Amino acid sequence: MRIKEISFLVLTFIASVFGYYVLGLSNPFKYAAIINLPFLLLSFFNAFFLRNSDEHILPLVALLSNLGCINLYQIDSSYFSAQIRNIYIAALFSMFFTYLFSKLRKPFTYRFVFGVTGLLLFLIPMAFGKEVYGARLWISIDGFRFQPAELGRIFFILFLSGYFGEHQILFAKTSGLSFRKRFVYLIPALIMTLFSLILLVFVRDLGFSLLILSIFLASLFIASSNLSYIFLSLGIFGLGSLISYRLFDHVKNRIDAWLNPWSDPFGKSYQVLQSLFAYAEGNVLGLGLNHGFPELLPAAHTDMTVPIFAESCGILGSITVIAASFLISTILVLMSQKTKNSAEKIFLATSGFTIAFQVFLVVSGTLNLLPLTGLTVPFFSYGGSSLVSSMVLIQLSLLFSTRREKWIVQ
Amino acid sequence: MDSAVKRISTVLFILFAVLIIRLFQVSVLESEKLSNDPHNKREILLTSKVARGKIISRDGEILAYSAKTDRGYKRIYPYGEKFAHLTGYFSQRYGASFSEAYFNDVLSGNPSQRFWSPGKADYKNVRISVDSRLQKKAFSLLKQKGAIAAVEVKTGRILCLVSYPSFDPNKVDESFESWKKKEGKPLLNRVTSGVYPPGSTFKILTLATYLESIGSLEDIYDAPAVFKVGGFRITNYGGKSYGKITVKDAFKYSVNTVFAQMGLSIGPYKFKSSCIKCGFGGKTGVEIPESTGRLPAKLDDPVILSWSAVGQADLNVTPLQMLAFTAAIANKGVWVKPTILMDGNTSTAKRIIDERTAELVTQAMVEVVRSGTGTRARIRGLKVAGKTGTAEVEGGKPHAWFVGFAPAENPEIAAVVILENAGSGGTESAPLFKKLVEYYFFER
Repeated sequence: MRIKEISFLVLTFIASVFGYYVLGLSNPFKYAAIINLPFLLLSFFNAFFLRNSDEHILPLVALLSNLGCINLYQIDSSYFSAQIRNIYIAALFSMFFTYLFSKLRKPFTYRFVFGVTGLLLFLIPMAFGKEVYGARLWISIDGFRFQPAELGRIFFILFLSGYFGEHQILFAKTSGLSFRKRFVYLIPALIMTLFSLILLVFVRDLGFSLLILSIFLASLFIASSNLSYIFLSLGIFGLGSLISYRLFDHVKNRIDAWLNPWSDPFGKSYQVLQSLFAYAEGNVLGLGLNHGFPELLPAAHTDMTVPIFAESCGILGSITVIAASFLISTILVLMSQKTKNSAEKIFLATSGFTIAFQVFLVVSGTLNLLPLTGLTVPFFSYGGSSLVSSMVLIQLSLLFSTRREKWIVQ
Repeated sequence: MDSAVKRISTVLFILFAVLIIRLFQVSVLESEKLSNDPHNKREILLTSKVARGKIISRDGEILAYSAKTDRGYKRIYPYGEKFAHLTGYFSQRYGASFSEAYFNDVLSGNPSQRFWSPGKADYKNVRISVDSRLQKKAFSLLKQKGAIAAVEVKTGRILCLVSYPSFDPNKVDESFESWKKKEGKPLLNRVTSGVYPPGSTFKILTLATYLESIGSLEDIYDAPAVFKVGGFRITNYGGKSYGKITVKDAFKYSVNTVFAQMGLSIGPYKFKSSCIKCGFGGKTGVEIPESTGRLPAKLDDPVILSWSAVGQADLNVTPLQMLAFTAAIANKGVWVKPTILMDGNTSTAKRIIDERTAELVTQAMVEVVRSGTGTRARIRGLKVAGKTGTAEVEGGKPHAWFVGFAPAENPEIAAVVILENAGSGGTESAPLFKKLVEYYFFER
């Protein structure tokens, strides 16, 4: 039993009951119990298999999921019930996945297997995919839609952590190798990354390609402590963006809307303006749950969850969501500092960074700080695949943080 | 490697700070500006999500209320067209008009200051001065383009206000665009915003000004069929000549050639200041939108002055201005601001004519109804004072006016009737005035 974790989960449960009460559900206790049961199960699982792992992350995940469900209920109750199903699937799948991984004594020896698996997962939608919102990201099995790239991302992080963990001594400036030699060792990771990026750009997933790039940069930076790679890559990224601005209309539209939000208020920039209005209307305390205007926002349940929550719960609501996400990230990064193993350290810090960075990309898109990317807020937005992959990421991180023996790939 | 991890946490902190600062900027600092942006439909949608107060007539009839629907509230107007130019409409798309607009703050409570229990804004009901029975009567009387209105003489409270054609405020969302294009302009409130030449009804003002500063009702004038001023001809209605006639009779038979001469003897400055003092060329101050009408620019031109004294030329007035002025005569020379408010009335009152003059004008107006041009407004058992008007317009039949009040000894109600391009005021409008006032005193 993890007393601390369970008491935090009880607090989340109470907050959840309050939320459903305000929404006017006839039986708030029932719904709160159904939604929080998987987190209790996860807590038991962690007490048993991931002894001594951090006890703050799961309650934060539960908080985000609960707020997310409350938010989805006011957007559209059909998403709400689907999201409850998603939470169960994600909890069960992540437990299963973590259990498998805990049986592997040296998981990072399979780094290339992970890499290829990741690539395949990126590739699947290209072959069998279905177009939704102008991007081909989904595959459908028996009517159950799934976004393989979300899971591909986990394998991609696993691959990079394993690969950079193995070579981290060589990448470091202190290795004494020339920049050229050091660069040679980068080539496999670079190829993998570029290949993934090309695939994702091909299926028009702008946000996800950004995320993959940030994963690559973060893990490379952690392994090398060398900023010159970062600047080099950012240069390449800039060039890539310029080319895609010229080549792809959907990229151009989003960037135009970002630069001149008032130029086409009912066309290109409709979404971002409505999002700004939602934040503004929410002001400090919000209009109240169920009294916002989600119907005015396209893609309300995925990309636009934060402004909708801000509209009903004010800046207090949006800060809660952002702070909870960043807290999860910070805890993961802190956990990485305690880990001795390089690959695990890179995995933890990179996972932590990507979660926060993803939230940053989504929220700054809705605030018109950056162009809209079409990403989701982990745990908070609607989406089965995103929920599964985020949950797996968290559970794997908890697993790696509990290993104490030093382990190096040879 | 650990130093890199530390830098990562610094980056996280910076990203977090950037988000919070921008969030604060959008949600708090720019909140008001963005909320009021014309591209933002939320403020209007917001009002449909909360109940709104009722609009109630002075006798307790509900003229507008909010009915709950599955997505918020819908505004219902049980009497449809009959009270449209008083209640106005309330629409998510087209905003609000008349009472719905003027009382919006009271009716809607304050929906923007709600937190956990929205939908329970502290909205209030509004009682307006209209008498529902009289209003329905007036609506049933008015069957052509025009307007009918009546006020309580002492308080200025509007008892009825009808403008034809009207519109059904229940259908505003579907029909607004077609109303805007429709011939006859149903959205126009002809009582407050219709501008017409007053015709002979304006002789009340000329008479009052004359009696106050020039002469008496018994003064005798030549009343030829044609009176020439600066090469222009002023003629009597029907081309009639009256020989020598007293001012009193000239008023009773509405003799233009006499009033043209009276206007000239009053002079441009006195005439203009009298018009302004009596509320013409300016707003009455009623709570719904209104026009100012127009006073002629060059009154010092004798042609224009003499035409204005008989209510023609460039002179334009609203029926409400005419009504408020008539009510002032009835109220012994004290002008009271017309109002649709029933409670907490803060109507302003001012003396515009001395009491003695007002009594003399009343006498003359009684004569008009007793045996002059306005006999069709006569009511058995009630002394009615009134004045007809037949306002010439270019390219059409004249507008038919009638203004008056009753009982003449101790006036309670004043009313105005105008029918566009209907012909003579004495034959067309006076009977409607009669039916309305009769209903008010004997049938209501």
